[in-house]
Amino acid sequence: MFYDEGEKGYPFIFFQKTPSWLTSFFVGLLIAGGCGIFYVWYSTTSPDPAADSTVGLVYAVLGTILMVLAAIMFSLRRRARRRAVGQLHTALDWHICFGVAALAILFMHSFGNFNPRSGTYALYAMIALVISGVIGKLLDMLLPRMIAAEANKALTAQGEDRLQNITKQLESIVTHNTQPPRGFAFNSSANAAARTQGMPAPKADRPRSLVPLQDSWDLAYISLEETPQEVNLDAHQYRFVPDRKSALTAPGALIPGAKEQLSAMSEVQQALQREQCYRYIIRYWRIFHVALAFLTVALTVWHIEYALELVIPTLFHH
Amino acid sequence: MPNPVLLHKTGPQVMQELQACIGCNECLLACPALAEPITIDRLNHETLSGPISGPVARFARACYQCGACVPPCPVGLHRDAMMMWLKVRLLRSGGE
Amino acid sequence: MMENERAVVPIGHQMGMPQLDRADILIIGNGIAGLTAAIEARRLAPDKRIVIITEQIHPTINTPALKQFAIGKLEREQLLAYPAGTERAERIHVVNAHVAEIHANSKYIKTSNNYGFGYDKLLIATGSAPQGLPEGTPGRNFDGVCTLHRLQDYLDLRRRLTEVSDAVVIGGGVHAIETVMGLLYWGIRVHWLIRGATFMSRVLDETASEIVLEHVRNNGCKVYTNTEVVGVVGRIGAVAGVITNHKEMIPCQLVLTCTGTNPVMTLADHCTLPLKKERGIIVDDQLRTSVPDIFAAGDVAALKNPLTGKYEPRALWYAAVAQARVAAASMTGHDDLANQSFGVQWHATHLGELSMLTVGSPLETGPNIMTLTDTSQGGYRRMAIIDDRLIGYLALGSAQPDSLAIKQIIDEGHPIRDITKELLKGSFDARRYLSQRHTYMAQAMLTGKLPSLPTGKPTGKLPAPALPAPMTTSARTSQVRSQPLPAVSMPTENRFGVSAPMPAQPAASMPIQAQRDTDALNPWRVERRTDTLMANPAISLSQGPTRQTDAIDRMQTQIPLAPVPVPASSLLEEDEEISPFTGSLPALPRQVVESTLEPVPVYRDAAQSAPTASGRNLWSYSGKQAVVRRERQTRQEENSAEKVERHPSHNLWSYVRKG
Repeated sequence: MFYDEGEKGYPFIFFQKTPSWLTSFFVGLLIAGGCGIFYVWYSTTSPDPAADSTVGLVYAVLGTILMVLAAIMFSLRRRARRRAVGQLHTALDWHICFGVAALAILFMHSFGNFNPRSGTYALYAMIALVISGVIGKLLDMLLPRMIAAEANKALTAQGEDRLQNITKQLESIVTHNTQPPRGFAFNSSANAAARTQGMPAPKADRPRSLVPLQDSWDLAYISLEETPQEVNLDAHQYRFVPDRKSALTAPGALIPGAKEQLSAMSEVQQALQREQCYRYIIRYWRIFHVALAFLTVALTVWHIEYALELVIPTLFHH
Repeated sequence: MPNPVLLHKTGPQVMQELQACIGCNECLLACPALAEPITIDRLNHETLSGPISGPVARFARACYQCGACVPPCPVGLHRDAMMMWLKVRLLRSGGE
Repeated sequence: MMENERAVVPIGHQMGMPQLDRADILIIGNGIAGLTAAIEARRLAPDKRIVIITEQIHPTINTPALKQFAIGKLEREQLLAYPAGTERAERIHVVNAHVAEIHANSKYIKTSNNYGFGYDKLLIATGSAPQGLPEGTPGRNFDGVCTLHRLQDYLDLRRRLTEVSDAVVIGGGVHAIETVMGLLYWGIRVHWLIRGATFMSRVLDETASEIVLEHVRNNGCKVYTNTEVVGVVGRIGAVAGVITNHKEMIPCQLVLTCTGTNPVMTLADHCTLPLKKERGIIVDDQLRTSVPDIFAAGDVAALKNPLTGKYEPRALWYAAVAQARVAAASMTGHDDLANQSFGVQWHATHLGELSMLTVGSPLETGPNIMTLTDTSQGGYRRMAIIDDRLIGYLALGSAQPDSLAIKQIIDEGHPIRDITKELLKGSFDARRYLSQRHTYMAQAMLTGKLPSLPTGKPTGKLPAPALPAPMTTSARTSQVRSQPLPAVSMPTENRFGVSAPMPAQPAASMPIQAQRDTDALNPWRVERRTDTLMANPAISLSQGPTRQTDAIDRMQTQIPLAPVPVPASSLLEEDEEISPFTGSLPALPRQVVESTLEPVPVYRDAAQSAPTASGRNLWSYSGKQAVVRRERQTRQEENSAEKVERHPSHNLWSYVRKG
C-alpha cells in the first residue's frame, strides 16, 4: 500500500506547505528583497547614507507600518465575528511575513548607525520579538507532539485512563493478597482442637487392611488444657510482623506485583506532570511574546519621539 | 473561565463528547491552525476511529493546542481534548 | 422513484399487489436517531440487512447547526451529520417512501404506494413536527407565517430575509431565542412574544430568565412577556402584522412560531397491534415498544422520567443519539450494551451570547435540598445539593463549563465538598479533578494510609488543584491533606471503610507518601504495618455484596450514599491515633437516610456491573444499580447539626442559601 506521508505518524519536525504560507513568504521576500536591493544600491551610490535621510526615513516609515500591521491584523481577525474556516491561519502567516519583513527593513533603516540609544533598543526589542516568535512557532510544533507522547503514556491501548487501570489492578492484587489464609481461624482454640482432631482424617484413606488399630488422637483423652502451641498461636502472629527496620515495612512489600504497579503509576503521574508543564510553557511563551511586543512598541514610540525631534526642525527649515 | 492544564481525555470520554457534538462548526471557525477546509463530520468521524485522511492528519499535526476552540462551543465540549486524542491515534499509527 | 428503489432494493413489481422485500433491521426515518441506530447496528451486526425508509429527501443533517446555517455561518455541505457516502460505505440502504401501515403480526410495513417491506426488527424514528399556531388562529395561513423545523424551512427563511424588516417570534423556549438571535444578526427588528412570565420556565429560574431576557433586550429585541397572539393580519395573502392579547397590533412581514414540537406518532395509529402511546410512543429503557420487535427512538419515543415516573419524550440532540445507540444494541441482541443508563438529563446551548448549561434538576426544592446560587462574573450559577452530592446544576454565563464532566459528577454521585466553590464560581477544572482521584485511590489503598480528616480548623480554601510534583514540599502536602474530607460520613461508622479511597481528595503523589512516614497533620497516623493491609481491606471488602465488580465500585457504593455531611465534630474524636489492628473495632452502626430522593448509585458501565435488582431507584433508568440504605444514628444527626456551628468560617456555607 502506498505510504502517504501525510496520513500516518506524527514526527517531531514537520513542515506544511500551505498556500497562504507560500504567498506570504514570497510577498515578504519581495518586499524585503526589494528594499534590500535598493539599500545596496543606495549605500554604494549615495554620499551619505543615513538613518534620517529621505531613504532612511522611508525605510523607517515602511518598517513601522509593517510592524503595526503585523501587530494588529492578527488580533483583529481573531476577534472578528464573521470568519471563514482557515482565515485565522492565513492571518497568522501574514503576521509572520510582516513581522520579519519589518525587522529587515528597520535594520536597513539604521544604515549601520547604532548610536542613538532609543533606536538601538527598539531594534533589540524587535529582534528579540521576532526571535521569540520563531521560537514560539518551534515550540508550537514540538511541544504538542511531546504532549501527545505524554498523553499516549497516560492512556492504555484501548484509550482508557491508565491510572484507573493501574488502580484496579493494584486493588485486585491487594484483595488477593489480603484474603485471610484458608483454614486459619485465629480466634478460637476450639477450632484448633477441631483441626487437630481432623488431622488423622487423611489416614483413613489408606486401605484398611494395612492400617493397624490405632488410638484416638483426641486430646481430651489426655487433658482439656491448651497445648503450648495453641497458647502461642497469637504470638505467632506477631512473628509475621516485621520490625521497623525490616524491608518488609515498605508499603506493598508483602504484596507482590504491587511494586510494578506503583512504578507504572508514578510513570503515568510523571507523564501527566510533564503534559502540564509543556502546556504551561506554550501558554507562558505566548504571554512572553505579547509582552515583548508591548515593549517593542514602547521603545519604538520613544525612538519615534526622538526622531521627530530631529526631523521636524529640519522640515521646518525647508 | 477555567483553562485546563491537562489536555487529554480518555477514549470513552472523547467518544461521549463526539456524540454530543452538534456540528455547528464554531470550533473550526475559531481555530488559528486550520489551513484547509475540513468539515466537522469528517473530523468527528476520523477522530473516533478508523483511518485518518490526509487533510485531517495534517490538521492534527498543525494543531498546537491553543485552546481557542473550547470557549465557542455551545455545548461545552472540548475540541482540544478531541484533537489530542486524534494526535495520540496518529502517533500510534506511525509506529506501525 | 421506482427505478431508484429497484437499484437499491431489488423488488419485482407487479401492479396492485404489495411487493415484499425484507430487511433484518428496518428503520423508519433518517433523522439523527435513525441514522445513528443504523450505523451502530451495522457496527454490532456486520452481516444484517439494514434499510432506512424515509420521507426526507436529503441525508441526515446536524439539526442544531441549522441556526448557524440561518445566519449564514455555514453552508449546506457543512450540515451533513456524517460524511457523504457513509450510508453506502456501511451498506445501509436508504429508501424514499412514506410508510402508511405497520402489520405487526406478519411483520411487514406498507408504504403509501403499496410496497411492502418485511422486517425482523423495526425502529420507528419518525421524529417530531412543529406545533405551529393553534388551529383556530385567524390568519395562520397567510404567506409569511412559518415554523422553522426542517432544512427546507431554513432555505425558505434565508430567501425571505432580504424582504423582511420586522419579524414576530412566538415562543418561550430555546428554539425561540435561537430564532430571535438569528434574526437580530441580520439586522431585522424582532418582536418576541412569550406567553408566560419567564423564559424557559421549566429549565430556568426567574433570575436566570431575567438575565437572558435582559441580554436579548440589550441586543435590540423587544420582548413581550405574558403575551399571546390572537390573530394574524394579512394583506392580499401575505402577513401584515399580528394582534396580541393586549389588543396591540404589531406590524411585521414574518411570523415565526417556535412553540414546541409534537412527536409524529401517526404510525402508532396504523399498527395492527396496539402501539402504546401517550405524549410519544412509549418505550422502556431498552427502547422497546409495547409491540414485540418494534422499537422507537428519538423525538418520537417517550421514556420514563425517573423523577416523575411519567413517560415523556426528550426532543434533544444528545438524547436522540444516546437512545439510538441503545436501540441498536437492543435490536441486535446485545443486551449488555442495551442496559446502559442514560444518566440525568442535560442540555447545553448558547442563548444568544450567553452559554447555558442545565444538568439534572437544579430547580428542585425540598427539605433536604440545599440550593447555592452565585451571580459573579456577569453570569448565574445555581446548584442543588443533597448531602454533599450534586443533583442539579444550572449555569448561565459567557463561557460554557465542562458539561459532560458535571453530568458525570451528578451521575456518579461524587461528593463535591472540595469542589463546591469551583463549581459555583464556574472555574471547575474537570480533567484534573477526575484524573487526580485515581491516583489518590490507589495510593490510599496500597499504603493503608488513611486520608486525613478535617481537624476542625478548615483552611478556608479548597484544595489547590495543582498536581504536586514528586518533590513537593512538606508544607504543601500537609496543607493539601488537611482539606475537608468529602464523602462522607464514613468515618464514624467505619473507620476502616475509610481505607477505601476518598475520591475527591487531591492527590499527593505516591513517592511522597513513601517518603514521609510521619505527617503532623494527619490525625490518622496509621502505622505501616502489614496488618493494616490485611485488616482494613478485609473488613471493608467483605462488606460489599459479592459481585464481580471491583472493590472500588463497592467502596464507592458504600461511601457517597446518604452521608452525613462530614460531621467534623465526630471526627474530632478521632484525632487520637488509631491502630485498627490492636484497637477494638466498634460495631458498624447502621444509617438511615431520610431524604426524599434516593441516593445516587454509582454509575458504571454496563459491562462492569452485573445487573442487580435494586429497590426503587429514582436516578437510574435501568434501575439496575444497587441502592444502599443505611440507618442513621441520632448521635450523628446531632453531630451534623453541631458541625455547622463548628465551622463558622467555612466558606462553603456562607453562600446564599435557599430552600
